[in-house]
Amino acid sequence: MNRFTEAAVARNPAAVQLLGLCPLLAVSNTVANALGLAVASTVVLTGSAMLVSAVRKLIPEDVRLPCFVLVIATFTTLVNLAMEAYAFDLYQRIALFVQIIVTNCMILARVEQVASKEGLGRTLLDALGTSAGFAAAILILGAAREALTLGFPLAALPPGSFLVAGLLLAGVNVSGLRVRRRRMIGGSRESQDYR
Amino acid sequence: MRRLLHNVAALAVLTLLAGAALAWFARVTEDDVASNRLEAELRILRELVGGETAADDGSPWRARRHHPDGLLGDTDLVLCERGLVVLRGSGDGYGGGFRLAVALELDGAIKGVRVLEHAETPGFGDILNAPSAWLDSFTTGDVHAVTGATITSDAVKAAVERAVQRARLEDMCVASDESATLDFSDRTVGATARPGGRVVGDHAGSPSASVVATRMRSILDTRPKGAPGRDKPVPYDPLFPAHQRPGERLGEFAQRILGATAKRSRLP
Repeated sequence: MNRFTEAAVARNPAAVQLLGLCPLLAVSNTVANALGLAVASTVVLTGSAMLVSAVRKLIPEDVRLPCFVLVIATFTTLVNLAMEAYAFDLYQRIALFVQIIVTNCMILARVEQVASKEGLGRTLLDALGTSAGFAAAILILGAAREALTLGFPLAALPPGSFLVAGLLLAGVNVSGLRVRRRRMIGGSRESQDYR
Repeated sequence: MRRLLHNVAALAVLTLLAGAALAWFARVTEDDVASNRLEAELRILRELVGGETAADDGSPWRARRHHPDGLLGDTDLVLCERGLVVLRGSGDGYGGGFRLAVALELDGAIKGVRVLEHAETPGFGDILNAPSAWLDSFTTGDVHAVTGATITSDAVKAAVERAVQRARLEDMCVASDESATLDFSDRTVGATARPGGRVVGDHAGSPSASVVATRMRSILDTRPKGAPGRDKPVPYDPLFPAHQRPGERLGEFAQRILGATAKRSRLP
């Protein structure tokens, strides 16, 4: 389970790697929207990673990136269609951001770094961990913004998303910086690898 | 060469599989997607007319007509209850085609405009998403282009104008505060003239809505034959709404002219 927690916390895609920020900022205005996008991202990431991992030996090295993008785009479109058919209200609100999951480098990074090299079990743990990390980030941001809206209407608007996300990231940075500094003093550059 | 072929083959197979998966799933969800879109449109229509519409009987666009001359674009005319007219219009914006609905009062004034579907740039295109002050400005008649969305706002404005112009051309202009049901001896044509002259209602016989409407207009018009405005639509005049024009009361002549039994009743 170490792999899962590492992907979710130490390598949290949103808070640590700062990947996938566009949907994170745009769709975190309410918890419901955030949950919808988190579920969509999880399905796309897990599905793509598992499929790539299963056929990784059949994909030629030269054209692996087009293949990955094709797989991710297919899963994104499937999720998009499913939402339009079975969750239309949510679809109308966040469809645009579900469609651009395909360009989310968080997903391509996991597929390229893990799924194309490792077996199904490790890939699944990594994909679920990354998804959980993204879901946690977007849900916390969504909850914070929705709660702040009560006394601070700006929080629901686009500028509010930058303000709240900036404050949350600052909080993460304060704690994260300390850990990193200690490690660097110790001579290890391991914590920098994923940057 | 061998390597190239391998790459091409792998990509081709993957693309085929992806295409097949998408085609299959698109077919699975087709019906649900269509009904969702229809439901969303009906919701917008209900918002526009403030209640139930003719669309609620399951046939959303009861009196659907298409202008072949293309002059007025692809506009569907929808006649609905409560004496309102809802039109569908379409046009081309910055990011692609859009479709909209316009609700008109009986005197031709715009009651509301809603965009049913558009592909404008997010952010700039937000003026098309209700609630939108810009869309509401159509009710005042004072519509300005929006900075940053000039093409969008001009295109929507033109589409609304086309739709409204179309409705006004089709205005039957049989002013009346009464409704009438006509029973012809050879076939039954039920139609109801509403204030402002629009003819709504079911038409069980063969004539299209437009034929019924023309018939109704000539029956209900009491002016002598050949008089200006007789037997053809009266041009729209915003300063002089149709229902205020003189000499256009529900006629007593229906029975004599066409042998039809006119049943008249006051509109509630």
